[in-house]
Amino acid sequence: MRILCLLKLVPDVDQLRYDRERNILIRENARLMLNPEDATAVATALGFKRDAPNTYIEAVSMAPRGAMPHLEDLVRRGIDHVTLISDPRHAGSDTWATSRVLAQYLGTRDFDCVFCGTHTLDGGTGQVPAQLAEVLGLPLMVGISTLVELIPQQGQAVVDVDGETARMRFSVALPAVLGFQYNPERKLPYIRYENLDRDVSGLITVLGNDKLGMDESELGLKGSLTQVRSLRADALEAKDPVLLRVDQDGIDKVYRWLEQKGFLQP
Amino acid sequence: MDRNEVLKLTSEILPASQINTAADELYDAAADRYKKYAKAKKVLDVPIPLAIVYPRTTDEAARLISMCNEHGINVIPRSGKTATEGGLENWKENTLVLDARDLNQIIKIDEYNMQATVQAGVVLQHLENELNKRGLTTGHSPQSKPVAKYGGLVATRSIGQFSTLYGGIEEMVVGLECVFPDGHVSRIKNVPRRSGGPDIRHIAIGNEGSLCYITEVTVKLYRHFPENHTFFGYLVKDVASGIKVLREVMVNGYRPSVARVYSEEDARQHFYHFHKGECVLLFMAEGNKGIVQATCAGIEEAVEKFKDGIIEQVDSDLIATWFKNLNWSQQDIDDEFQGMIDNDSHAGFTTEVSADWETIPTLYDNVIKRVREEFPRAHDLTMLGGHSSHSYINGTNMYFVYNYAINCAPEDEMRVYHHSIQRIIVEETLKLGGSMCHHHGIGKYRNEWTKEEHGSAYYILEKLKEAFDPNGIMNFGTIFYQEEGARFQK
Amino acid sequence: MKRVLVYIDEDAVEDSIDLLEVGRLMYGDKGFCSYALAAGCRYGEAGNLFDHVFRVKNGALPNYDTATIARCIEFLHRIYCFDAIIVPATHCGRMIAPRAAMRLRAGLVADVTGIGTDGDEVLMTRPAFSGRMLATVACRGGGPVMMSVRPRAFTYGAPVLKSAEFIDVDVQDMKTPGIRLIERREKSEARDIRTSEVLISGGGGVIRDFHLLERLAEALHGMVAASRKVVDMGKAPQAIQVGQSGKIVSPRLYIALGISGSAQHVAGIRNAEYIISVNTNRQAPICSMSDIVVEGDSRAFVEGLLKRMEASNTQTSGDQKR
Repeated sequence: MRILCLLKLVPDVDQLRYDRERNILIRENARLMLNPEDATAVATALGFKRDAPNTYIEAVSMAPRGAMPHLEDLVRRGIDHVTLISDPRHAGSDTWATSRVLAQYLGTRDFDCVFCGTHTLDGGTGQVPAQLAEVLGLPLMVGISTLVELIPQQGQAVVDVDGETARMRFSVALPAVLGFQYNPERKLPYIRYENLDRDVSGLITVLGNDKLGMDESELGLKGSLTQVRSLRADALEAKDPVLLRVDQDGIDKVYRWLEQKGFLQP
Repeated sequence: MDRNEVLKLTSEILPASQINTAADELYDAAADRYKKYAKAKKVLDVPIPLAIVYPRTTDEAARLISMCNEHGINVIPRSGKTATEGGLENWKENTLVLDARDLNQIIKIDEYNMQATVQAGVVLQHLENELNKRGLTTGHSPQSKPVAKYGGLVATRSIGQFSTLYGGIEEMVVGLECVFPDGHVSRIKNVPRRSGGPDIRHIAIGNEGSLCYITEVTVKLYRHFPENHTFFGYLVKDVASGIKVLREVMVNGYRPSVARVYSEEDARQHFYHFHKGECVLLFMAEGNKGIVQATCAGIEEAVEKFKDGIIEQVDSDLIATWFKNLNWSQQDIDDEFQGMIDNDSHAGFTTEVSADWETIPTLYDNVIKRVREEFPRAHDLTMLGGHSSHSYINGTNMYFVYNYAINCAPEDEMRVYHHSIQRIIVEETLKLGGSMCHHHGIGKYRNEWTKEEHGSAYYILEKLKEAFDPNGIMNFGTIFYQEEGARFQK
Repeated sequence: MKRVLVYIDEDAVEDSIDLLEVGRLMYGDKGFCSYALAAGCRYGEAGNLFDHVFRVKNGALPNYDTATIARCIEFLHRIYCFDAIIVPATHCGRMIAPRAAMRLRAGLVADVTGIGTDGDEVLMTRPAFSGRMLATVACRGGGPVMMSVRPRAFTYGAPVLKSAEFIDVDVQDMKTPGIRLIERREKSEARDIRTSEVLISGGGGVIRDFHLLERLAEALHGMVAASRKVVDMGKAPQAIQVGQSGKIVSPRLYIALGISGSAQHVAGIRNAEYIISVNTNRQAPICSMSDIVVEGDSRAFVEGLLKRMEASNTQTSGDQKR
């Protein structure tokens, strides 16, 4: 069984700073973290491997070199191999460009299933898994709350999607792309103390565009079909509130306001 | 000596109602807030005490301690349980926790002489509430005020939020009573000042339970003028700019009750709704009207002098509100505990140090740089910064704060994360001539540096320990390094 | 005359039809011809609101058959050359839109919450970075403008009635096997907080009294919601969590009890029409976006308000949105 885990390193939003004057996002001091839904996907894959030790898991990420310590940690947790796709020419890629780069690499790999998260904390578009599935011609299901069964010999996976009003169980033909929903119960295993400093560089491959061989016009800003025109800190309207207290008078005023606005029937 | 023998000896001194052997409470008593995460996850690696005992009188305390001294039983003195440095952690199989719960009387409030006498188990907030009714205050306001008790507050040389005006606990203590391992009870009387040989109060103040057990304290009182409280807040360019303003205020002789500078990440925890990603400088002035007015003028002058470092002023009401909500309540502590169980994380750790004015900005920068570059798990850090919150004419403290994603097993968290960061902070501080511990107490987890901290003066501490606790029964491992305890630390 | 295709998700028909408002914002009421792709078995009032409705010949396509629906969209675009293709950002919509965009080699903007124009160009606004930022995005390249739109971000108010031309589409050759529904189980909690006019939301300040909120919610014909803190502490289910990591709600009235107003929470209530906050701290950040701020204990507020309402012996109105 070969599972490929797609993951993204996203900046810790709490550490992002916004330079109002220059109208740009300062990411330099923001630490990177594994996108929580991708972590659920990886944890699910590792959970599967625990019960089926012959499973081979490769993690793939398109990220800057700064992601390396996090990727090393993944190997230390039990991932068999990590591939980092990193090239300065990828900067500014939208989901179209990103999906095509990932597809270029995934097209060379042999796998039964791709696991990933459904959305990312930063962009949050949720487009890459679907676009990748389309380029590779694979079935896709996202928002998965539970992986019920994974049977490569039968070429199928059974998954549950917990929707708003209904829970649906699907059978998905393999190979497929499976996008997981964040599950706080599904945690990555701890790195064992003796593994914290283990040298895992032999299990990590870094690929730049020279190896992937895409045309430069297909990369980064040039290769993107959407363009961010502006990014602004959400302008929340500052209102001028009526100030009351929790006392007879305050409650009375709130009551009359509710009445006036039609929230009570006279 | 086995468990049953110890309990038998104990029951000869105290009735059963004053002896607690409930399993969950003993587990809780094995460690303090230092190992809060491992405790919440139930993976503590230390021995469990045999019993918690509650003496009702000084005499009962004396009899208990001398019994322990005779039989080599470790004693952990305890009151409010807010210790953060392992001071209450247990490293011995045969241990009794001496809890001041029932020594909870406010003995006297002497308004005319401006003194109050309390037993060690009195909650600071309770005394404060009583005093406020009379327009008075203790002037002592650590964040643990609602929960901390006088025994611990004096034993750790604690300091409060308003120390820049009122001083630390050492400035407030008038007299006290304490019990020594041999059972001797010493009462130091209440006088405003004396020259009667060395100041022996300081053997008890700060002893962290390693020399004696404090049973009673008398503290000074101050007039309280809450109506005059005035707040100032500013966004500043960096920590060094803020420190310049703090120094200016202090060397000009002003004593605001609060004078603080927060680094960006530390500020974010408290002031996200107005700090705009910058460092925060804040002041509070209190006292009678004339003093407050003069202090405010002094603050404004200092800010003006160093206005190049100031970005903008912040609405004083925001500072006032923040202050009102700062202290812990028991509910906060309970919620935090549950949060740690549920979320595999905690609210972070601290290491607080002190140094002179010139050294502090360099110390701050060196530490931040070294942690980011040398700490092997720097990529797990979710917060790293610090604040200066207690200033003196000749320097200030730096309270480093840090938090991180915990990617190892809970029982390994301390050695993987906190210890490594603390080591860097302590090394840099000692290298630059500062003190590695400003107000939390050495506890157990900085005891490997106690000798280096005191240098040739360690001789004095060492002799005190030999003299008062020759059998080493008082809070084994606190302050004084013990090889036997090393396995719990590394 | 522009051409706009809207995908109708059979599990979110009204939300899908509301996307006509997006067309209106882009091109004006009279500036476009509307097409609905009703591939599934339900399409509600689409026949009365769109110019054209595509249906699948010989049986509907379930919404989770995203590969086939994407091919269907491509097929239709090759014939009709749409200027814009709009998909609701539902569970399935978020799979369909990117698949279709890939086939059409078109730029796709996801989870759009705002529309603007710059000359001829359409500018789409969407939240980024957990709702802390708003990104304004434009499409490049020659293809149709494609977007998935956050449900309930737009409402097609003052609808223009039409009589649609129904067009049947043969999808036999497009079918791609792959996903099969084994079982669908309806969940007992029928109502979604996003559909409620009135939300009574509790935060850290009412953790111990959370049960009281139900009474007030009932009295105001609303629903109970919760801040992330309350959900994290296990006092409320995730389904009623409001915020960037919960649900984005747009009630007419949002009563925030004991909620301080973290940035991620407030991102979930930006579209609330009226906000009343009750808090012991008048300076709590949420107060800066409230219409009324009531300073004091939330429990006392709820009990006091309930008493006041009982005293008047009033029934509350049940104002439904549609």
